[in-house]
Amino acid sequence: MTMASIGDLSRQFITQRHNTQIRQELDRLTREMSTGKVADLTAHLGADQLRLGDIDRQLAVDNAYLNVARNTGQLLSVMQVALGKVDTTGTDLAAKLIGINPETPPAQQIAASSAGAMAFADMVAALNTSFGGTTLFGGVATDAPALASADIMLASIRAAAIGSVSAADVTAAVDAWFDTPGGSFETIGYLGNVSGPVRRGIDADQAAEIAARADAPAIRDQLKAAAMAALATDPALGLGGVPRANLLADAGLRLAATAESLAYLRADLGLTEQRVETATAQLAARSTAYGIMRNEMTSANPYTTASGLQAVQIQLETHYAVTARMANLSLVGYLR
Amino acid sequence: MSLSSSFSNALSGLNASSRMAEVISSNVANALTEGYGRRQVELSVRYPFGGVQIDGIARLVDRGLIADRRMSESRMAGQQDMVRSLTRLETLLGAAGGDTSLAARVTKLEQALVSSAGDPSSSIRLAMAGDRLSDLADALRDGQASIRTLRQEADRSIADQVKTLNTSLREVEELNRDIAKGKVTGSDISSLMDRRQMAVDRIAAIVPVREMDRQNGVIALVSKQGAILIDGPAVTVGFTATPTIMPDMSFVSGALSGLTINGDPAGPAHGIGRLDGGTLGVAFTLRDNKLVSAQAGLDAVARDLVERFADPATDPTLTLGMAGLLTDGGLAFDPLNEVGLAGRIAVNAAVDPDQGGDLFRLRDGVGAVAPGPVGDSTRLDAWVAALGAPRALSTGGSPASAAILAASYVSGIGAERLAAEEELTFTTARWSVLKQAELAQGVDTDIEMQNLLLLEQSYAANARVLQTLDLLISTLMEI
Repeated sequence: MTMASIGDLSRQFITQRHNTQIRQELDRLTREMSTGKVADLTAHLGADQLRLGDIDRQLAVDNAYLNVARNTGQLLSVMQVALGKVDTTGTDLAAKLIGINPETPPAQQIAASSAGAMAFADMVAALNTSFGGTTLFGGVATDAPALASADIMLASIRAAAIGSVSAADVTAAVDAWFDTPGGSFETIGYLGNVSGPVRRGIDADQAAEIAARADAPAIRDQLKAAAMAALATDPALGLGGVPRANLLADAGLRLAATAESLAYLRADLGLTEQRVETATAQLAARSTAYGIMRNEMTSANPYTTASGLQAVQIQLETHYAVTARMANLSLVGYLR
Repeated sequence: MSLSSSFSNALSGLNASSRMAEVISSNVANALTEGYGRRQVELSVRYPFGGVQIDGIARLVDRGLIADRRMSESRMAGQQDMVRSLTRLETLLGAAGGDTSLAARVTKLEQALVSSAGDPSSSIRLAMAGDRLSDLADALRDGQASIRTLRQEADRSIADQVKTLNTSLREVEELNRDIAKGKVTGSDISSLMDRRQMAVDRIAAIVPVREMDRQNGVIALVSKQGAILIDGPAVTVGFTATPTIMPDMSFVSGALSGLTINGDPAGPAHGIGRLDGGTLGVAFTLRDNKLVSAQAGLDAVARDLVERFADPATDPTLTLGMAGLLTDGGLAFDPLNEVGLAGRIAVNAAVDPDQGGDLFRLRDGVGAVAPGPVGDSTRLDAWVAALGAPRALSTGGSPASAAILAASYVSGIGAERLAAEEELTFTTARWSVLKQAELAQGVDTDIEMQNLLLLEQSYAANARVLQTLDLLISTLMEI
């Protein structure tokens, strides 16, 4: 007589499968709970995986650009300080030089001349500033000083000016020394690079271009004026009386006349500073936004995870209870 | 006359009861054996004088259900193998969002180059950029090695499966012979049929098969797509394993072996022939299709990176035909030689201090003879622009930056894995329903216990009848 029967193994099979399924779900939820991130990102994101890849790339690259922008901003402010030093040195020297005429006491003229020599040295020192091992005013040759030492340059200028008898001669010699293309300044005075502005990439399609170099005309003019003042009382030239006073006065006038172009140079640098600051702010804002987007895409909602975990725990406990009860429901147990 | 026939009836009853007890004991002992067909004793009335005769032991299995379950199991086993391999491939290449994925390495290189362009005089930053470049080349080579390992494993798996298949086919052939003999001589063949069912189950996981009945309980096995595996004698499936598989080796090129059935090639177009549908088919698909296209994708990504850095417009110090930052084993890339590029990719020796080169060439160009101005960021900016420029892969697709191309390759593999997992879930659900139904036909100890109770009663009753008949005869004897 065949009766409908249900094999023992089928019940065990179902129970085992349910057990495995519930435990797998429990494992997944526990992992999401403890890491805060979705367990299987590919399954969670589906077609959005590429967006995540893009976001990750943007975050990483923006991070690098932010770093560069910050560094460049610092570099630019140090350059501004150095140029400011050149500016104030020039202004102070001008104050001492303007008003000197052949009636001025020699002591004052000597003092003004040595002020000129010191001013020259100060300007050269300021232009040779380096920041973090990088020379600032030498163009892309950032590993060598921008200008030769003040003594070397002055010695060379002095040698070029020997034999001058009037202020005009000295002025002409100094101008020739500085301005001749391929002349002394460009060979032994300026040691940096002349190929182009220094470029620093601060964002994907933006770069800060720093054109301020020690061989800029505005700076050459300041140096020329200081050199002229320094040479006024130089014993090798032996200027005295009227030529000396005239030279000092000319130096002062030169400083006053060229102050404006120095101001333009500084303003240019200031514009670049502003651009870098804007880029820095933009990059920071963008990084935050992308970071939030990334979190939204990859983090597991703790609320959902916690309630899911609780539900699965209860389900598992119920399953265990039912399995235990069903194990007792066998005729064998009642035939003892 | 009637007394002796009563005796014989009672004895037949006892016989039947003890035979039923034997069957019940066998059933209960095998309650947990998968593939055991529940036995049942078939009784009928004995012809002349009543009494019970045993017609035979019936083995209760639903063959249709088993056939369905086998087909489903073939698919499921194959899909399990596919998901396993694809998951491994995805993990080895780096899953989406991970730190070590191919896309992450490209991004890190981009990051390092941007950083270095921001301070070209910093040797530390140049060194970092150089390191990240090496890491990228390593990742590509590792990816290739992983694909190669998986292909070799697939090949080895085919060899193992073919061995198992042949062994099981021989087993079924032998059991067929024994069952036929048993059927003819009338002995109990149930256990032989159990063993044969298990053997066919083993075959079905490898190649989906259909059972066909022949005379005397013998079966023939035909694959789902129509290749005869057993019809009388079993076929011998042959396969030559290839332990080392290089990227350019494929079945089409003749370098990799296909299956042979009794010496003849199973299929000219692809190695599996008409034995597809189970784990054997999946192994062939992996070795000859899926992993080969994964290889091609990786090579396309590698080629894109090599070409981005080898363009003289990006690096004017390069002459045409000169290798750029990334080389094909030290040489310039030849478009005819794309297969396996990912495994040969290397950092140009001129740029790598470990190979006798110098890092200043990262700043000044691969072909630079002497270091240029240390603050010059032109070349580094050009490398960054090259990585970010939209280019399309040689395998097609929309143009994108290098990192996105790498990310889409990796997520493509992830998507394949997901699709395979979804199919597997569906197939597994279907299989578990069929399996459950099949197992429900197995031994139910409750029913066996109930039958045992009835049996006790029946045996006791027959014994009592015998006792009474014995008393009757003794009474007769005392006359």
